[in-house]
Amino acid sequence: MTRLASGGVIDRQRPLRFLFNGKRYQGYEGDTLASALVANDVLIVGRSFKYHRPRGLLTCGPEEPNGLVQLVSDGDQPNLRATEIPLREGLEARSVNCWPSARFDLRAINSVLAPLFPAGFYYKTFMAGKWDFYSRFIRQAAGLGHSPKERDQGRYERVNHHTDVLIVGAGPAGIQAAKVASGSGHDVMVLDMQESPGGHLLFHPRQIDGQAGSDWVSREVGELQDRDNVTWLQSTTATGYYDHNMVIAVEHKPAESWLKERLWHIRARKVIIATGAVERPLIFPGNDRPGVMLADAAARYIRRFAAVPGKKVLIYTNNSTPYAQLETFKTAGIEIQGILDLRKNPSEAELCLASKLEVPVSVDARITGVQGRSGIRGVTYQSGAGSKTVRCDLVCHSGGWNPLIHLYSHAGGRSRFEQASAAFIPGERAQAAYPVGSANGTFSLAEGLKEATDVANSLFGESAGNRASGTPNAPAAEDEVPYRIDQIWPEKGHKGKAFVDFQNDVTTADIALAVRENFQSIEHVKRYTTAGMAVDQGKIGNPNVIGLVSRELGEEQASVGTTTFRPPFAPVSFGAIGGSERGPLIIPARTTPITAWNIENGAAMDEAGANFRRPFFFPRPDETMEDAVAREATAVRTSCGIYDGTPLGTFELQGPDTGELLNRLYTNRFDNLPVGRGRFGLMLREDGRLFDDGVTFRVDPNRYLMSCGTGAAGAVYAHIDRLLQTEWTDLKVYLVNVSAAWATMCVCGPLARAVLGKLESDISLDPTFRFLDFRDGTLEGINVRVARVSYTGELSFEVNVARRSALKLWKILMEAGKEFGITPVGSETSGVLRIEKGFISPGHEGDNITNPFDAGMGWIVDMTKPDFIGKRSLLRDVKLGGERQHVVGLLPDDEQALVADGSALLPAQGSDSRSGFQGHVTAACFSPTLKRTIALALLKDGQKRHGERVVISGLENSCVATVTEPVFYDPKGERMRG
Amino acid sequence: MSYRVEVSSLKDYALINLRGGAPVTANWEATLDVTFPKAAHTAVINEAFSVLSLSSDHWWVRTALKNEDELFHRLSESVSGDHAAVTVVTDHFQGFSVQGADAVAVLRQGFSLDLRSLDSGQCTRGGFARCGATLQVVDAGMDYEIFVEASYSEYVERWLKVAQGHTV
Repeated sequence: MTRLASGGVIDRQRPLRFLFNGKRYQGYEGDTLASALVANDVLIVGRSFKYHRPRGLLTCGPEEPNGLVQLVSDGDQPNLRATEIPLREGLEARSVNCWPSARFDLRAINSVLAPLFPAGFYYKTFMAGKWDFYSRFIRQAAGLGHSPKERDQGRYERVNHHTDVLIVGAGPAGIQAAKVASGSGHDVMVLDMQESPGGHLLFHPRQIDGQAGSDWVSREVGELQDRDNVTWLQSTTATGYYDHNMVIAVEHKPAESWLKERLWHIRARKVIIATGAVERPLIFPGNDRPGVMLADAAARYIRRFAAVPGKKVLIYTNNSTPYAQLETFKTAGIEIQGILDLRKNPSEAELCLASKLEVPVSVDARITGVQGRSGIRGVTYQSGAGSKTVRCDLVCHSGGWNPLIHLYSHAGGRSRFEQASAAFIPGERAQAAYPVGSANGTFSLAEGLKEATDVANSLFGESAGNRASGTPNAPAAEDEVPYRIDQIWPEKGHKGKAFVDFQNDVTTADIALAVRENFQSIEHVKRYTTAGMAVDQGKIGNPNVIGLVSRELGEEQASVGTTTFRPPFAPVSFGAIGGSERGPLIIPARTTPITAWNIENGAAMDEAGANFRRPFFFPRPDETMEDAVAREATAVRTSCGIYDGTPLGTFELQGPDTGELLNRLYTNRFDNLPVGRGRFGLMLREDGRLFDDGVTFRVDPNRYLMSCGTGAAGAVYAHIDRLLQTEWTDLKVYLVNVSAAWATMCVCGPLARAVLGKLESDISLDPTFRFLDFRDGTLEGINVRVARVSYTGELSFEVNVARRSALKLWKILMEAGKEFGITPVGSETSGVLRIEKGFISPGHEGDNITNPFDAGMGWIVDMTKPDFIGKRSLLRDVKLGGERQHVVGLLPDDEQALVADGSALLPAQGSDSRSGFQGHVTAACFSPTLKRTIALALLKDGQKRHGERVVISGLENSCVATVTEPVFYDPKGERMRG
Repeated sequence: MSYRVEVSSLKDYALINLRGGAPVTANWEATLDVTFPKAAHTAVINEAFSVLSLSSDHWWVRTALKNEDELFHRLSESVSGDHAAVTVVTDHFQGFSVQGADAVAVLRQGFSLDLRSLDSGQCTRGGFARCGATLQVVDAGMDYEIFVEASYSEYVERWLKVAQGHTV
C-alpha cells in the first residue's frame, strides 16, 4: 500500500472495500477507482486493444486511454474509465480485453505476431478467402468489455435549460468568468466534470490574490453558488456542442436521489469554454509499459489522493512543466533519479528548480528503451555522454499540453497550430463560443485569469451595454516557471514499439507506413491507422500523430491540419440518452377510446402507424391467427363485424374556397359535391405518385370533413397547411385537425343495418340512405354522424361520435349486435377483406413509382380539370409511355400456397418474350371467402397480361400463378352499395 | 421520493377553436364582450371564459363544459356568412394541471421552450414529450396547464408520472 499518511482530499476515516479482477483491496471515500489502484500498487489495469500488451494507468482524468474497465457492481457497465469511477463500498470492476486475466493474457500472442498486424492489416489480410471465415474470429476478439445482460434499474432524466451564459469548466478561468458574468446580472450556468471545482488548482498548489489557490476557489465558488442567477453543477460533463449554441451535458450525480444521471440540453446565448488542457505523452520505445505515466497525472495522484505511483522516478520531458512538479514528488518521498530533457537548453528558472532539489538534469537526452514488461526495472537513454541505464520503477513523462478544444470544434470552430506552445489552439469562431485559459492555449495561470476577466467583461460588462460586473481586474497570480516547449520527435527507424495512440495501439511505425503507402491527408491517416478514433477521440494522441505525419511528409504541422473532433467528448450512457423514453414510454403511444376495451377483450395488438396500436385480430382460446382472421372475415361477409376506425386522420376544412382547394389536392372534382354527400378522393404527390386516399364529406356549403390514412395523417395535414400558407395564400380556407375529437366505429356486413335498426334513433336507415351519404342525428340519445362508407366491400355504416361518448356507444352497439353475431374485427382481417375486394392501399401498392393509371384507378383521375397536384407528372408519364408496372391479381395454382408480401415475380417456363424480374407481390392472404390464396401484385405491363402465367418466387418455395383482374370479390360493388 | 408537484387531468372544460381575420374577430369580441388578446402568447381570462391567442388569426375560447353548445352557437352565428372557422375541439384535446414548487422541473423535461420567458397568464404552443402541447401559465413557476391531443392522453399521463419521479 503506497498511501501517504496525510494530504489529499480522501477521508481516511471512511475506508471502502472493493474488488478488482477478483482481488480485494481497500481505498477511501474520495478516491477514484484509479487512485485506489495506484495506492494499492496495482500496475496492470488492462490489456491493449490490438497487441494485448499489459497496460497501466497513463493519466488521471477522462483522457485515460488504458484504464478501461467493466464495472460489474453497477449494472455491469463496460468501457468505463477507472479514472472517472468514484470508489464505493463493495465496488467490483474487471479489466477488459484479456483472457484469462490481465496479468496473464493468452491473446498476448498478438504481440509476437505483430508484424502481421501493421496499420490497415484488415484491408489487406482478409482480401483472400471468405470474409465469413475471418469474421468469426474477429468478432470474438473485437470489442472492449461486454454489454450488460440485466436491465439497467437506474432512472434517468432529460431536461431542457436556457441560460444567458454557459461556462464549461470550473477551473480558475471558468470561476473568474462566472464571477464577471453573474456580477453583471446575467443568468449563468457553470458545468464542471470534476467532483469539486478548481480545475488544476485541485492538484497543484498555487497562490492567487496572496492566498492559497484552494482557498481562493472555496471563497469565490461559495459566493457564486449563493447567487440566485447562478446554476452550478459539479460531476457534469459537457459532451457535445451543437447548432444554435446548444450544449449537451451529462450530470453524473444529480441531487435527486431517485436519479442515476441527468442529460441536459442547454441553450445558451454565449458559451465560455474553460475546459483546460491535458498533458501530451512523449513518444519513445516502451512508452506504454505499466509504470510509465504522464508527469502531471502522477503529481495529481499524489496531491489529490495521497496515492504514490512509484518509489524511484525518472522524469522525461520536452517542456518546463515537470520541473514545477519536482517538489511534489520529493515531498511524497519518491526518489527522483533525474530529469532527461529532450531540449538542449532548459531555462535558468527550470534548472534552478532542479538544482534546488538536487535533481540531476541530462539535456539533449533521449530514452531508447524501457526495461521490464509488467513493470519497470530501468530505462536506457542516450545523451551526449553516451548510452546509460537508470534503475527506476516509474517513468513520468511530459510532451507538453493539448488545449481541450473539442467543444469548440464541435461548434464548428477552426483550430490553428501555434508554434510557441506546439499546440493546436482555437482559431476562427463559428458560434458564440469563447475559449479562455488553457483551453485557449493560455497556459499561464495569471494570463488565464486575465483573459477570462477580459473576455467576460467584453461580453457581459459595461462595454457590452450591461450593468458593471464589479470585477474589472483579474486577481494576481504567479507562475512558478514560464511554459516553454521544444517539439522533438523520436529518431526515425528506432527500435521497439513507441505508441502514438495508446487506446488503438497505433505506433510510430504505423504512421510511417501509412504515409509511405501514400495516405497524405490527416483524415486518411486517421482512418487507415485508427489513430484518434473511438472513445478516446485523440485527446492526448492527436497532436503527436499530426506531428509525425508532418515530419514524414516534410510539411509544417499547421499545413497538415487536424482531424475533426466529434461528439461526444466522453462516452454517454444509453440510459442518459434515452431518459424516460423506455419501457412503456419507449414510443409516445396513442390510444382511442376503444383501446382499453379491445385489450380487455383479448385483442392481439399491433403497430398501426402514427404511434397507434390497433387490434390485429381477436383470438378466442385455442384459436390460431389464421382461424381468428377467417372467423372475423366470414362474420363480415355473412353477418356483421365491427371495428374501431378512430386512428384515421380527420380534418375540418372551412371557407368559401374549400371546393377549389380539394379540386387541387385530389385528382377528381369536389366543388360539385352536394351537401350531405361524401366522395372518395385520391391524393398524389407533385411527382404524380400515390400519396393518400380517403372520403371527404360536405357538411354545409363551406364546410367539409376530410378523412385520410392513419399513417399519412401527419404528412397530409402538413402538406395542406404548407400549401395554404405558402403556395395558395389567396384561397380562403381554414384547416382544423379534429382527428382525436371524433371516434369512428364501423359496423359492416349484410346485417349491419339490422344492428343499427335495433337502436333508438332519429336517423332513417331506409334505402334512400345511399352509399356515400351521411346523416346527423342520435343513437340511443347520443349525437352521432352516420356515413355509408365501406372499406370491406360490404354494406357498412361508419358511426362518428364525440370522443367522450365513444366507449358508451361502442358497448351499446356490441350489445345490440349480439343477436346478429356481431364480431370485433382486427386490422389483419381488414387487410384480408381489402385484398379480396382489390381496394388499392397507397401504403402497399404505392411503391413511390405507381401512378393512378398503374393502380387501375384512372377512373378517379379527371384530366379535364385545370390542374391538380401531380397532373403535370401524370401527363409526362402518359407521354413517355413505355413499360410500367401495373396492379394485378394473382391466383396461385396451389390454392393453399403460402405467399409472402414482397415475393418476386418471374416469367413462367415457356415464356419466350420475357425474362428476369417482372414485379413483386404487394399483398397476399388466404381468402376465407374464396377458400384459396389470392394476391395483389405490381407486374410489368400487368394490365395487358391477364391470363398469363408467372412464377411467384419465395424464399422457401416458388409457385406458379395466373394473372387476373385485381378484384376477387363482388367486382360490381353491389354488396357495399346495397 | 419525487418532485413536489401535483398532476391532475382537467375535467369539465370546453374548448372552441376560432380562426378568422380582423373583421370577424370584432364580431366575436362583441359577442363575448371582451377584447381578444392580439399579442403573441397572451391570454384574456375572466370568470366565464378565457381566450388564448395562438397565432395572429387563431384563438381558443375555453369555458365550462356546460357552456359548450351555447357558446359555440353564439360564436358561429356571429360570423355566419363571413370567412371564419368555429370548431368545437373539446374532445380533440386533453388538459392536465401541473402544480407545485417543482412544476418547472417536471415541465422542462418535456418542453424545450424557455419557460422562464412566460409570465402568469401567458400561453404558447410547442413540442412536448414528442407529442406537442399547448401550455397556459396559470401562476409562473408554480401552476401550469397543458393540453395535448387526446389520443396521447394516456401516454402523457404516464409520462408526467415518470417525470415527477414516480415509477409506472
